[in-house]
Amino acid sequence: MKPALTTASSRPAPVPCVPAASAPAPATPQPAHAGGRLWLALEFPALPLSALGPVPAQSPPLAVSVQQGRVAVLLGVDARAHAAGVRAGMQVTAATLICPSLQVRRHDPVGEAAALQGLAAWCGRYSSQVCVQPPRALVLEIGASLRLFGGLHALLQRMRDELRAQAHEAAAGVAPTPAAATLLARAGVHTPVTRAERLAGALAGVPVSCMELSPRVLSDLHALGVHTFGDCARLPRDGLSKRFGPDLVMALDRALGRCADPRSWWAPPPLFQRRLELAFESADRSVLLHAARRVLYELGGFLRARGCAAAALELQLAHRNAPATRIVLELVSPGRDPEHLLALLAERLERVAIAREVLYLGLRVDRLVPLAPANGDLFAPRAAQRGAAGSGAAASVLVERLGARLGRDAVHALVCVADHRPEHASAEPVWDQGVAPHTAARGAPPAPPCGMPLWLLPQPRRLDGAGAAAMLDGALHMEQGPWRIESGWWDGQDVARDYYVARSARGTRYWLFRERREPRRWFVHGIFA
Amino acid sequence: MQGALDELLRHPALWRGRDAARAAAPGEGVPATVATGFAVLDECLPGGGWPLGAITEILHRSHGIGELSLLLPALAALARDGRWLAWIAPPWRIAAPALEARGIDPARLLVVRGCSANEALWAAEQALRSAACGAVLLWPQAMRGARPGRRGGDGFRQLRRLQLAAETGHGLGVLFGDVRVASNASPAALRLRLSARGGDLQVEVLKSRGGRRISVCLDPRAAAVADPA
Repeated sequence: MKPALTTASSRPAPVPCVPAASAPAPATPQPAHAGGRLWLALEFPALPLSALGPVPAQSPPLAVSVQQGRVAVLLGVDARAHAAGVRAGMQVTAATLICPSLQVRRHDPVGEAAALQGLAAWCGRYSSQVCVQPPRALVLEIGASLRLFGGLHALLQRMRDELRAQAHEAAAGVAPTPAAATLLARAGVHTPVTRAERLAGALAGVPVSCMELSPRVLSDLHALGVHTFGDCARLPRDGLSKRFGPDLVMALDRALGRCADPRSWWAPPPLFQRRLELAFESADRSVLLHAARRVLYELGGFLRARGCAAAALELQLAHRNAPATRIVLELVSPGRDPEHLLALLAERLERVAIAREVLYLGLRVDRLVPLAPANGDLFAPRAAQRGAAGSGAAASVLVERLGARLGRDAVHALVCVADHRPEHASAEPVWDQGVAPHTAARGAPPAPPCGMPLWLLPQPRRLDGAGAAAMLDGALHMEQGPWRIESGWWDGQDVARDYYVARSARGTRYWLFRERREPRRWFVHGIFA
Repeated sequence: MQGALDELLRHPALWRGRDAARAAAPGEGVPATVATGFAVLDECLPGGGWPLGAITEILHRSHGIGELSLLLPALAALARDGRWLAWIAPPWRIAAPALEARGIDPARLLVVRGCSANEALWAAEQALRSAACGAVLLWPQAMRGARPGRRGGDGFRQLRRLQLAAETGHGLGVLFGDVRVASNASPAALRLRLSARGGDLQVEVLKSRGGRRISVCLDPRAAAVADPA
């Protein structure tokens, strides 16, 4: 016989097993996030569908089905299918009658789990304490991140924007305990609860069906007329735990912060590897970029969580019955900003011929480089920072952009080399981390007594040659000279020349030289611009 | 008479075209121009120097008359401020020691080579858009032939894009061109025609925002070397 439930006033005091997220002293009510912890729960009800990746703009209605006994029912439907009258919970046969063009995909729990892991990685950007709650929820501690992101509302807005960029939909709940945040997210209470003393009031209206209870307990509660969290919390604890077991009381205590709620945190894997199946096979670059954007946001969070940056990315576009298209992105300076990486990828995709439709795309990052976040100056105004410190970073962003489209060997640096031979005195190495101009070995160039022109011809041109006459057009007037250079006997390219400055009738100043050895020919070597 | 005129000129209701470039600075403390290093030329240009955040077109018939020397003092000043100098599709090899001798650290240069005419334009646009670049110098390959510069034509549209990019990045954009395009319409903020006169350089201001057509003669090698303060 079950013990009778009474609402007698013999309510026992709660066990004083209070976690760090306890209520602040009532005398000085402070926002819970001032020093305490604040939790954000993200519930992804549409995850079975959004795990399929971004959908092209003119695609047919899409739904995900799951087998329940002998019938297949719809688990999730997209906006187009919803507009056509298809609803979640319908049988597939009924839905295809309503909407003949409906595309139905089998529910893929593995893909969904990967998507949730990806979202956890993305959250690594915002918190070091992220907890994955299968099948469709995440909880993360944001109390410590609020200052960095400019307050709760700025943080939530930013996360909402980034989720939209990744084509995910989420319901959010904010509360001082992780269990309460989850309940609020599930119940659709979007008003953040930041103070512990308001928690009980906010939770009172949450239906008991949002708590993870067994169907038997749930139906018993309903039979007793207990429909909300508040109804439940009002009942005497000893009776409740005798009748429904300790789990229900424990769940109440955890939500209200009366009892510790230990969790295991998501830990970033050693290397990033992600595979995203596309809902529809496509060779459309915008669809591929959209899918890549989601993966890059996940990568960005992963790299933040690891305190690293990527030195090189490898994107794989898998085709049916054909070898995959591989795109390797080598970065000039290791990066982790998703939008920057996406811009580079977009430039590369423009140049790659995608002959066949893409089944899925995979991203691998093998080379991670430890990277400390940039330190801002406490006192210098922002404009001053932009000038000196920012220009180095902005320059490498620019070089990467140029290199991604024009090829790595199109962007050069310029260095002086300590050599008296003019053709060896300057070099244009391909811009790379190794020869970044700051670290390039710089020789002490000899001060040219009668000047060296700004332009050097790639090869000295013979003055009596065919092309030279057209170039020089007419008589030359010697202005300065000679300036003698004899050097380079040690590497077989020795020169022995007398240099002169000459001006043509058009006013162009040339740098000429005459060989000191036979046959003592004249050459043009440069132009004073 | 002179005193009365000065008083009139100080009147706040009086708007003078020459001040337009100075007033167009996008924010406080951001200079709208950079001094050319040639006092005679600074006098002729609105704002007293090369316009920042705009395109300057330099048209000349032949190379080697001092077209680059004209820019070097300004480039040196920009490089000293820690900004980058992008040289896009330069016609010949650049002699690093010569640059160094003129006060420009070669390590501040970013050279883009070996790309098609359209790619060079794209690269120039990107460089102008980036806040890292203090100056972007472009030698369009189309310079060999006259560019179709009709209003609404291809060249006009490309220049307009560059002009907009320069406004974003607030750098000095310089486009070298052939004198044959001088008669075409151009959205550039400043257009100069250079010609050699004896050993000196004749600089003719074809167009400037709020300035007038004027011509000066100067020696491009004799820039007033500004000491880095």
